[in-house]
Amino acid sequence: MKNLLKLQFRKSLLTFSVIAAALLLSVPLALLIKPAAMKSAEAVNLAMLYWALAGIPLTALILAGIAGSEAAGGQAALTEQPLPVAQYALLLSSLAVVLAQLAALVLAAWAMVGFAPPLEHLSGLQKHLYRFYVFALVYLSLYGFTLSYAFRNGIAGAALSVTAVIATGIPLLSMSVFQDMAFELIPLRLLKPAIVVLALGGGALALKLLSEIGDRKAARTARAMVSVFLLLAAPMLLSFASLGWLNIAARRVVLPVRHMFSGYYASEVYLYAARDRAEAFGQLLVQKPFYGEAALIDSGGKRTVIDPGGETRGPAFTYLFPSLTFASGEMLTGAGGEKWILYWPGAAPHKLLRGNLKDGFTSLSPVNRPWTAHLLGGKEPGLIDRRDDGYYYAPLPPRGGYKWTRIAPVNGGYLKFLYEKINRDGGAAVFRKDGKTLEYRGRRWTVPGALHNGLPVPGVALADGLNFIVPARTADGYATYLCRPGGKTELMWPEYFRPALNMSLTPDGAVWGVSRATVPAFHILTSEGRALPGVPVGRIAGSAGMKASDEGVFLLRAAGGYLWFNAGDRYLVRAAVDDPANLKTWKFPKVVNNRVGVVTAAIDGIFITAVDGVHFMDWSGNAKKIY
Amino acid sequence: MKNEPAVLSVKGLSKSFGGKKVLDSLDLEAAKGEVIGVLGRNGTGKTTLFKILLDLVAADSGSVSALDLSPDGGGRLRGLIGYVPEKPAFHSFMTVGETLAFRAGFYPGWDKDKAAGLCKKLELDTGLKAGDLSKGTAAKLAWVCAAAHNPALLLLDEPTSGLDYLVRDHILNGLVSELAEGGRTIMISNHRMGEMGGLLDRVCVLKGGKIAAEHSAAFIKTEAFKATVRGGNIPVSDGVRVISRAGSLAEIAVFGRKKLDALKAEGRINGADISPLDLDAAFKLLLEE
Repeated sequence: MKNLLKLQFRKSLLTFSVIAAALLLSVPLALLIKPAAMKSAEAVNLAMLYWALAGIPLTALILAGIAGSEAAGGQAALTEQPLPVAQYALLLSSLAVVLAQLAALVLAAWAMVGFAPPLEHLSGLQKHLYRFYVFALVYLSLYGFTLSYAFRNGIAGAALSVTAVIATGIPLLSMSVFQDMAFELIPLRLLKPAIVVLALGGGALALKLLSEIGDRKAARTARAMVSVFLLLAAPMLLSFASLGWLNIAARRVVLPVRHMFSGYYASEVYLYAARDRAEAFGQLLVQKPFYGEAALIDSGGKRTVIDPGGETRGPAFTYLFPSLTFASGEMLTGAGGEKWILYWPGAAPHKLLRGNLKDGFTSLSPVNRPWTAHLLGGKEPGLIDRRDDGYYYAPLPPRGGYKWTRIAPVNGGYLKFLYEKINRDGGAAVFRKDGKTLEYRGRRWTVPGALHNGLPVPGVALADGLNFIVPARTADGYATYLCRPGGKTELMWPEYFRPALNMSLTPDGAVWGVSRATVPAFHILTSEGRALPGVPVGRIAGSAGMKASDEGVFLLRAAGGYLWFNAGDRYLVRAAVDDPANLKTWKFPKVVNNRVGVVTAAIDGIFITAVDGVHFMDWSGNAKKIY
Repeated sequence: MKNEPAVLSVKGLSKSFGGKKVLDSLDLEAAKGEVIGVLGRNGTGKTTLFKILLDLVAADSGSVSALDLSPDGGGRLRGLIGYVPEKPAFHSFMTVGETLAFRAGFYPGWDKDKAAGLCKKLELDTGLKAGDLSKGTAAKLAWVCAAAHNPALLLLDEPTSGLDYLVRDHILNGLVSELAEGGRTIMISNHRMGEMGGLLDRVCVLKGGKIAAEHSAAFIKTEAFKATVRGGNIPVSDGVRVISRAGSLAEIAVFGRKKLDALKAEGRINGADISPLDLDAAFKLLLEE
């Protein structure tokens, strides 16, 4: 083989020497013609960039085209085929020399930029191109050589190899960019190596078949030629098949429709009586983010489409995958069970819809506000909008257009408006002037050291009625008190907790927060009014194979002596309140990675918006696909 | 065939190109030390036969065994065979010396001294560029390349074709030297088989893709006669060929003393002038078999 390599190198020595000399000479040339303002290093970098993008790929085509067509030529048949080596070895030696010469040029260009190409400002696409570079060069050379050998023509081989590399590379780059920008829908980490293996292995096998056909060791049958074609086309076919897979997968993705910014506006959810919660949490607003469709769906799979959507595609290579038409929005359940939906499909104005799952929705006047508008519940539902000069409120339904009223300055005075609105609806208590006595409809609680700013305190609807959670300052820190409907004031936890600030609500009415004072632990007030001692986050996270420090664990339900958690959007974990060892886990269907809110709790289970649609899992871990 | 083990055995060999059958169930054997002339007109498959033996072309059917190996596409067989192609070609950028050094790397049995000796004997300048070689000099280099690794089997495809007398003598002398070393099996195809006549053991006539006839060289040298006969009754039959005809005179060739004696006994060549048939004429007639 050494002899053959020496021979092939000598055959291409002149061509290679001329190109290598040109590369070396481009350095002084770049320094000579650079603008005065440009640094020498930048001029050299620029020259090498031209070589990397055009010169070296062109060299690959020239060297591979010449070597491949020469190997199939009459002179090689007379001078080299009679040697006691296999024809395939002759061809591989020739190809190896082409690759070695290219490696030398790449190394030289790399050395010119001090082995540190300036890559810090590359875009996502450019980074993928950079990673694709070495493979593309080898691919170009292998196919250029093989096809030039097949057609006995270097130009035809070079042109076809460029076509092959582009046909493989563009879908590959598109998919890489898509998955970077959006979601990981197909296993590109496996597909990319597979495409590389197919390109390099298939090309080498095709060359072997062609060598046997060329020297008549194998017959030029239709079957043999189809085999060669399929071997050469395989990486392109896999690349396009993967792209097709990505397109199909993208159309199946479902995500919840949520507001881009959730704030304190949703505070009134604490006030739902138990009988209203099934209605409020039993349905989910979902969207197909690559198709634009949005629908309301219940746990049984019944749904109504609120936006039929439609697929759109971007320009250039982004045309190869559907555009992300990500919509934001939110839903509010009114007193009579009617739903209000504020829906913003991308750049279009907010749509406001009213209706229900059974009868469908009616579109009201568009809300010509950007994503700053939110729905606000209560006896008088409304819209609240944060603008540059303050907060504005408009009651619903709109009568002859939205009547916006400025209700607070931009620095946060809206809370006063909000809590007073809740208070008017009968859902909040107020502090007396002594600052420690809370009063609600004639009932009074004394909370020494209560922390408040004089605003009404929204209540929390538990099984025994409206309760009030009040944080307070103590001698050695903070404490959180629960003011029961019967008039008792109980110390729940020796830490600071305040609903809507660092506490959340489950659909069944439990209120919970996470203490991070020492070991992270859940602090939970069940809907029956039982304040649980801290449940270590690590215990739940560990049962799902997560690190104890993981923050992706959320309480979904607390009922009947059990707690249910969403662990990392991957597992439903059920833990017994009084038995730490009693843990059970169920795996979720595959959800879209790195998206918050893909698991949404309802009363009788959880909605899981997954890569293939919507699933509903009950509290015993039984899942069914509902959309 | 000599009473030596077969070095080369070809059975039922067939090969077609584009629907044209070039070799058709060809059988051939060669013993160790045997020198075989393959006689055939242009396009009768001599070169194809050699390429199949060299594992450069795959047969459509049949079997080949040479030096205990069968063609497998790997080129191993070529390492054991010395081959002089009809049109020798070398890398033009190499000198003769570099060509020999390059080839030496492929043949384990390469004998540098022998290669140097052959160059000297053939008056081959090792400093010459291969691209500048005349046809004769290229033929000399091909001969050195074929012989320097002491192959047990030599395949010579028109080794003297188009060469002047001096070069031809050099090649033939080289051939004689190889024979003198003994043990070589040599297969030669040559249009001018006459010049090889003294070296051959056997002549195989290739026609219609098969070995149409085989003759021992001794038989052709000692039992081929030319008879000049008068009159229209020319006794053409097996072993009798018309060489030329002029009026009532005709020259015929008679192969085999028994045939000649039989013709004499039948009185069919009474008064004929009988002389030994020269080898070139004999081979020319055999080509027509």
